[in-house]
Amino acid sequence: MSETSYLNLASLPRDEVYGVLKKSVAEALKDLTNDQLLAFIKRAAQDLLTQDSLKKVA
Amino acid sequence: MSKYALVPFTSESLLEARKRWEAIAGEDAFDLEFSGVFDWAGTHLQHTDGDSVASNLWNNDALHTDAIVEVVSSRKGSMSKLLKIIPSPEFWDINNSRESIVDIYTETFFNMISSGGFGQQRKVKLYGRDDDMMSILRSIHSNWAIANSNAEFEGRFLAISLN
Repeated sequence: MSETSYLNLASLPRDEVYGVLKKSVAEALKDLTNDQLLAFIKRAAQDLLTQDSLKKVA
Repeated sequence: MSKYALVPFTSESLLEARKRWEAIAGEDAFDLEFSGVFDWAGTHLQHTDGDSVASNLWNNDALHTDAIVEVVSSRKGSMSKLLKIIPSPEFWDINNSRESIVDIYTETFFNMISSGGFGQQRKVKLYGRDDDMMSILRSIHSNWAIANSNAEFEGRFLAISLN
């Protein structure tokens, strides 16, 4: 398959994509204190999107 | 088999996750932190146009749910957007969970991208709901150098697409 014949994102090089994502997440979170990281992972559960806001992003 | 898969919830798998998370967090903390999430997820098990769906970040090694993921498809069903990642209370012990937390976010993003199915627009969007998630997305944006693809911000969304 030539590089220009990709049909969708699933065709991207998996190892390379995974490596970029892991490096990026690790870099972004490494300087958070324990309290900051705990607050971050808990925060997502606290405010679900409303139906009105969903209509805007859908 | 990969350690993680992003799969649809069933009523049964959601109930199992609820029981496990409540046992880990304790009844009071579960009610405070997660009861609303599971109530919402119970009514969002299947895709509906214009609404979000609860997905299951399933740990294939441990055989349980490590995170609940909120995904929404565009009205025409041509594009998927990742809105939220809600990790299990198993990871509240931060001293022993930093690597696992990195894995959860990495695997969720990776599964969104690698599962394909992004329709004619060939695009997936990741939402920066708060400053910390925006920091992750900015990091992905700055590191992204995958041939034949782009990572570009569209407001608070990081859009990954093919050239």
